[in-house]
Amino acid sequence: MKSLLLRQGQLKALALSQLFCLLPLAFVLPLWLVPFWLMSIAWRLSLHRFSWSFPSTAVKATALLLALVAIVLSSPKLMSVDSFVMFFISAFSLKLLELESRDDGLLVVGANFVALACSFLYFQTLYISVYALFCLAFLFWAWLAIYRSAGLSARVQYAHVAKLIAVVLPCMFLLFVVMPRYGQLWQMPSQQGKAATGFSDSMSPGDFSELIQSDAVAFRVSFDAALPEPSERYWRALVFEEFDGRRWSLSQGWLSAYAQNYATTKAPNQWQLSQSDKVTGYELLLEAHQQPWLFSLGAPLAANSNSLDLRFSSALLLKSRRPVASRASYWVSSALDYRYQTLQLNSTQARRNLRLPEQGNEQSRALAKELRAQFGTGVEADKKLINEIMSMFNRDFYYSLKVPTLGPNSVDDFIFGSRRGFCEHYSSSFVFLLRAAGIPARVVVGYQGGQYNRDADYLIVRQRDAHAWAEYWLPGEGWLRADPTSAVAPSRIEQDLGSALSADERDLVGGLHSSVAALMWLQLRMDELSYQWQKFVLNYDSRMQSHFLEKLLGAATPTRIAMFLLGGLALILALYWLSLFGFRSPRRASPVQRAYALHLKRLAKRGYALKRGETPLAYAGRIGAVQPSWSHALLTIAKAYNRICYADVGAKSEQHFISLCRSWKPN
Amino acid sequence: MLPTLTHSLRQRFANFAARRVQASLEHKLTQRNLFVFPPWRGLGFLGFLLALWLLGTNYQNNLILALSFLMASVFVFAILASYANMQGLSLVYLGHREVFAGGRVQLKFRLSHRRGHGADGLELAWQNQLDNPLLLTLEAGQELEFELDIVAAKRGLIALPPLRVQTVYPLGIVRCWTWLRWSARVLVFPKPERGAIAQAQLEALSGQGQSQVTGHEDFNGLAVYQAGAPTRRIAWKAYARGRGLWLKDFSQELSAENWLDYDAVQASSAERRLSVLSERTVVLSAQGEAFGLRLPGVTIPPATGVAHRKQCLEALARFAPTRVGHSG
Amino acid sequence: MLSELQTIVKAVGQLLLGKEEQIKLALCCLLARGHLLIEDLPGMGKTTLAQSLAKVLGLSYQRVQFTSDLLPGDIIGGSIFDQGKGSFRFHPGPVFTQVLLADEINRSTPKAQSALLEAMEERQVSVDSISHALPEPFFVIATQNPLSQAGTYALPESQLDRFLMCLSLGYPPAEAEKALLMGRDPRERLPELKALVDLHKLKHIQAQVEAVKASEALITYIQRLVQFTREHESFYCGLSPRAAMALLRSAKAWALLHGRDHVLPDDVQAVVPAVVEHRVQGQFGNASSAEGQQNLSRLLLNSVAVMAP
Repeated sequence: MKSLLLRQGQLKALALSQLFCLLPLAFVLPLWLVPFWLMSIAWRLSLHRFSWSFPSTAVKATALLLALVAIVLSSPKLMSVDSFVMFFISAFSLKLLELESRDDGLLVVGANFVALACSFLYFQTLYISVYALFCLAFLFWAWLAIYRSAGLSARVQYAHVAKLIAVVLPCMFLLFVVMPRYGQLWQMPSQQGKAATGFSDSMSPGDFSELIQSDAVAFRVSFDAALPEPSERYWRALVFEEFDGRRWSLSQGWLSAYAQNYATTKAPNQWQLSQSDKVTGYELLLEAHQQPWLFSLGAPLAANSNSLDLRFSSALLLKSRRPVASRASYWVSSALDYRYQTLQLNSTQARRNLRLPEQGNEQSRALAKELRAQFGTGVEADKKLINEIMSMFNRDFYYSLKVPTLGPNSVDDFIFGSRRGFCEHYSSSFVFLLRAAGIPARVVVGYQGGQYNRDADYLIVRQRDAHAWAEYWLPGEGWLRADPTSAVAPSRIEQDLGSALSADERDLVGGLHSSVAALMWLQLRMDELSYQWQKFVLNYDSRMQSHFLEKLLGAATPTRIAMFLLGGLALILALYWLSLFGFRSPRRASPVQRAYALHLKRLAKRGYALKRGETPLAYAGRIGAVQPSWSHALLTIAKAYNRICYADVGAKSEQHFISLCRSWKPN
Repeated sequence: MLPTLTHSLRQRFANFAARRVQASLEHKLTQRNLFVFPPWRGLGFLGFLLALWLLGTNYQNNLILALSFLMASVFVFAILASYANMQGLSLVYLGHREVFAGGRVQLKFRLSHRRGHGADGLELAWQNQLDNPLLLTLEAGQELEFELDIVAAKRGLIALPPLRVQTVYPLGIVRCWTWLRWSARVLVFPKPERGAIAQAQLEALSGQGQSQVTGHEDFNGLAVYQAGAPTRRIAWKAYARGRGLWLKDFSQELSAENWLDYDAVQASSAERRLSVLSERTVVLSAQGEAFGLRLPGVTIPPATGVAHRKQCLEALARFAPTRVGHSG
Repeated sequence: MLSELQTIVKAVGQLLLGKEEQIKLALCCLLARGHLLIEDLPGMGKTTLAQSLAKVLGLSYQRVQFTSDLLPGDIIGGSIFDQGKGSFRFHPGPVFTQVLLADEINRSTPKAQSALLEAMEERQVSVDSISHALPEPFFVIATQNPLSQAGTYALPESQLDRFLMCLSLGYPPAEAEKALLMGRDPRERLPELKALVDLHKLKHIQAQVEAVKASEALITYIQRLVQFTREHESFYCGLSPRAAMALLRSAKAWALLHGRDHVLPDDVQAVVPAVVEHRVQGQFGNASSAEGQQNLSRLLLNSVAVMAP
């Protein structure tokens, strides 16, 4: 059967709903798509007004070709999500040109769903979800408009949409909660256009200053037990062991060498960890930063994740096999009090952690030599030497974000020149001095601190909490943490960055400060909302699901889950059905009718069924003629029934009639 | 291959559906005779849904997954809503208009809802012309009378083909439908065709065209006086002669009656004769003339009026030339 | 009142033996302010019925023999020039009576028929644009002979609808016929009948008919009966709303006649053949034959359940 044509109003509704559904994509995709879509829809809508004809095949083919060229030109990588989404949008824009029948309209509806899904590839915030709900309501309205008859009042239309939403949303929630989640089924093209966030795999002077101004959330953590002290909140991510005089970077092959990594959920034995019983468990919800490294406190002992392929890497680090391309969460239990590699450092490691460039930063090297000469050798001397460097920082240095540009001898320039800087400068020069003094040391980057949301009991770690510190190795002690920044500005560690800065520098830091308390409160609430959103919605995976279902159903057996799902769906649909057809059955017989029906049923069982069209009296007469012994009772009942139904007598005689019917049985 | 397969499946289903629905003059749409299944475009929607689910799973994106669940919910809703749209409807066959062979017969139906609900987007089509459905909308609390037509190819009784009532309302992704079979038959009158009737009869017909009973009265005799008789009818002459009150009695029988005689029609075939008689019946009735019909085995005395015309046409429609002794 | 009505039925029944049902229906028709059509062969006692009813109810009686040359004026009367006064004077026709027997109504021309039928409907007569009210009550008993169709003008459907009931007296039962033959000629016994009620009483009874209660369940039953005739294929045309009202009114009268202040489905069923048959036409078969129509009313009563399912 040929599908019916769309009316102009239906077209407009569809076009508008598509506009809403595509809008978020306009922010992430090349701009040429916007006029492309607008021209398509304008052409289609003008057909009616200017009585144009539908575009010819040649026009459509040309437009498709143009779109393909534009896609190839505007996406650097052909097999990427972006180019797929672009292709999809341009194809559906062209489909708009020949939008004619109801079936075409249905295709546009389907395309709108896909468009919303594509937006979710790029945005997953609470806000986009709310916006998507609005889009869906609009889409439902346009969709219902395709098939309903014309001339329905707006109120009725809204009622239809409301009813649809009222049924569909609870069903969706139910399915969302119950439907099993699977891991990635196959490798998908990665998303472009999403720059890596946070620090990179190397650190040069000035790298962090941008980061520190960013208020973006890096990750959120909720702890199983008490929150560690601020001074314990060192979120380790990377260890920089290579130094070229200016730039610190990862040791060769750390990123790519998977063979050395241990794909287990437990810390590998090779780590030679000795830790106290003090273990902290926490769940970390990580924003997609497009990097493979993960964050953990102290020494991670166990970790697992549903969405990430977790690895334990060298230097007590966690990493993911693939860059974290979407928001992910993982669980770690860490020892905050531990000894690591106490006995000895293997030669490769020792060499790597002592290595300095051949030349450069001569003044600093001289300083190190001087200090070494001053304190002698041995572990105790090493400790004194380190204390001396720390107190030097404390004495003569300032914590500041306004740092003059440092030359090629960045350490010399810092220690003997500007003497002002922040974490990257301090950690970098600290490690340099230690290495020059013959103590194995390295730079550790990650985040330090975090804002505690007391009400929701979680920690927000933002980009401005990015931090670099140092670790050094002493025989018998193993790797130890030293944070030279804390020597300069203890409040940076104890409180936050803003408090470590002088008043005139605070503006350099991203985010709001305690001076605007109300705004800060608001920001905290918003973050809380979005954290809950991420934790419970975006991050709802099979682990959370089984946990939740277990709590809800007692035991998450497949039967119980199926019963829960089917029962829930049935309940929702039954409520909908009742809303359509009322809560009472339409013609529930009155007690009198039911009593008489019982009477008839009893007689019918004995072979005296009421004939169609027979009146009660005629019926009683007919049976009475055959069964004279019943005659009197039958006539009494028939007459009583007639009186009630046709003579409108009171309720009293109804009671009498009912008992009469019930008590008399054909014998 | 595929078309034949779908065709045979469709045929099987039609047979199955026919067993579920008894032929009747009125049908109530209930779970017994309603069927629900997504049409091709509904399956396409399911395809979209599946694609989104895969996308969401592969990108581990809960929002996309939620969207696919939402679409699944919409689908479930559509099943229920399209069923609810049809359920409780009742369709009653009310009768048909007069039809002559070769024409289309208008069949009248009434659509209503048991509980006064409305129904939107109903498509009604006969089995043999599914491509051209009648679209109906039933307003809440109302009844709808409408006409559907079928081709009346031959004279005689014809059966109504099964009627498909379906809807894809409200979302187009689920189709709810039923096949209704009707016990009613339509009596198709022979197609009127001009033709010659043997001269004698024709003359009688034309000559007696306006012969009204009033003009031609023959005095028949005297009748006993009955109280209340008009004075003009009293036989005053007889009264004057002292013979008491008598009434003049007039006979008003038609001297020559108009007979449409099957055997007098000059035509080649039986059907053609019936056609000519059918035409005469229609014309004479339109002129208000009295006539009788004589078919082999059937005789309808002369009369006028709608009922008479109908009686004659029905006799013509039912007439079986080979079977003599058929009673009208 | 019950006894009075019973006496009336009994009194008429003494003349018209074995026809109690028909007498009751005729009386019902009168009490319900309707007109009666009797379709029967001559000599079945139509006149006796009409005359005896008029007599026992104390009503005036007239008879008009309908023939092909009957003019409207012969029924309703006309203006006659009064030479003494020098003006036209209205001379009332036989229609100005309380019980009018219109014999063989289908023998007259449609013109004459419609004159009577108009009078029946309006209960007044207009001559020279002056209305003359007919006496109250006004009850027409029309008869027609179903057998001799030739030279007759069958009443059109619209006019048939104006008769509340259509009866057929039929041959008397053997017992009754024997009694008839052995006894005196009923016509001779007519003058012996006495009026059993006066006009005031009759009007009171007619008012009582209106007051008979019809419950909602009963109205629904009548509605479903009417609906069935409109839907079922056997009925060429369904019952009109006027027919539905006629059915209810007749059933009320029937109920009153049986001493009830409320209508039972049995009352409706009793009057259905008389009220319905002449108003419906069968779809197929012999639409006009009495047999077909009786089948129709049987079909109707046997198809519609008394209580709504």
